[in-house]
Amino acid sequence: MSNYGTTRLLTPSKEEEIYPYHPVWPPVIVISVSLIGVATVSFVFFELFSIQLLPEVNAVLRYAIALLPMLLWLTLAYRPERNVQIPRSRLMTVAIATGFVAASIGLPFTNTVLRPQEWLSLESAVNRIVGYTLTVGVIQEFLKYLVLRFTVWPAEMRIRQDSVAYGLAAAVGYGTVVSLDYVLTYSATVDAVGVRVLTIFAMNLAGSLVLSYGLAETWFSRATPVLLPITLIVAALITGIAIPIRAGFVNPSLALTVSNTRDILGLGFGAALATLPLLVVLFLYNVAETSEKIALRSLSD
Amino acid sequence: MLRIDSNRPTYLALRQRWAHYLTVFVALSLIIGGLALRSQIQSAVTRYVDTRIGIEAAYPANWLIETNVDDVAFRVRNMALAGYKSNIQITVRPVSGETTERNIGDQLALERSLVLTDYRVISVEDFDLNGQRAQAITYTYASQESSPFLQGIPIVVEGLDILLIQREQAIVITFRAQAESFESERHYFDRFLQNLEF
Repeated sequence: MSNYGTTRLLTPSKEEEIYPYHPVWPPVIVISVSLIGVATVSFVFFELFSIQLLPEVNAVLRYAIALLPMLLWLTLAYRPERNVQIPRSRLMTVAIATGFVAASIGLPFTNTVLRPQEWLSLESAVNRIVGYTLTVGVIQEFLKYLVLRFTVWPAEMRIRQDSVAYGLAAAVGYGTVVSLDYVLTYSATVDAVGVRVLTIFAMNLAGSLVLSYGLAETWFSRATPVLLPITLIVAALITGIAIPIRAGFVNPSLALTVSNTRDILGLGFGAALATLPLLVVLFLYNVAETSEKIALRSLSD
Repeated sequence: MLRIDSNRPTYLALRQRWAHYLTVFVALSLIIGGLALRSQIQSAVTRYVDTRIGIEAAYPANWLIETNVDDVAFRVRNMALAGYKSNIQITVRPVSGETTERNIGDQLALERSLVLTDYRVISVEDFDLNGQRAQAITYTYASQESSPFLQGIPIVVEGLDILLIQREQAIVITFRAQAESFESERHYFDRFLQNLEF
């Protein structure tokens, strides 16, 4: 005779659905926050406390900070791809290719042919924004677009987040070359390098994420053909706005006394640039994915 | 580990192809627009008239103008440059009827060798200034015009004087720039000479 107790039977646990892709937003956020943290720490140590280090140590720190976005990306975004079921296979290709086009086309064309700082520095604010958008901004984002278009789009686009992952790789590749060029060209202090690297990364990340949204929508939804060029223009405009505004924040105003650069404002601007566009693009991706889910659900119903 | 075949067919719809055509078109148009904007800004000029010495000139916009400083009647400087500021200046000196351009050049060389460090004349040659015969003297010297409170090494400056004599006046039109950027800045001077009337 069976004997039934009063204890309740446990419901067997549901099998967890394993997400086969490496999530992209956590690395983007962690890299941005880490760079803000490093820029803040270097500012506090070297600007506020005026800590003096040996020149050799300073040089090592400057190069380390310039390479930090790449190191963080390798650790947080590239390496974990090995541990997921469906890895993204061309991340390194995109990062290296973007770095190469930055070093061989982007920087030489901007610094030796266009030289916008020579003819824009005394222009009005509007002219400077338009000028930097049409020169540095467009060239930077168009080169990244070409690399993404001819290496991963659309063959490697399985989900929308692939576009973000490859956009991040492009931003890191291009930004690292620009940061190294800055460190090699100017003998800036460690805190100035920290703030500059943060700004360079933030500009590249914002542009790449906006561009990646255009690429993702062009492939995954029935977006209008105008969307992709619009995202390219917006991405270029972010750079075009960021360069003169950063200069306006950092450069001292004219005074009769000796004036220093206002690095604290540059740090605040870099932090804002690293977070606000990221939040906007994150919102746009969420809207796109939610709309797609609703559309699929209505189709299945 | 799963692999997704990246060689799967990826046919592009017409709207996707157009998106890329439009993107390339827009990007190239914007780059051309940037070059046009640069050309427009760099060729923008401000007019200057001095009835006292009888010159009318068009100098690059945004350059800083100074007039009647020492023996210089007119001087404009490109303040956007770091280091030595490229400049164009006009000096007018009264001369006798027998004075030639060569005399003025020799006199300038003597004066400058006393005040400019390592002043060296590179070339002296004839020059056609809007149909008038003139003489062009190219020279270099080391400048230490930076702030005395900042430690810095001298800058090699390259200069070009255009000398001509008119109405018993020796007119010296000078262009000076950092030697490294002399050629890239030279177009400002060429355009200045084209528009110069006296």
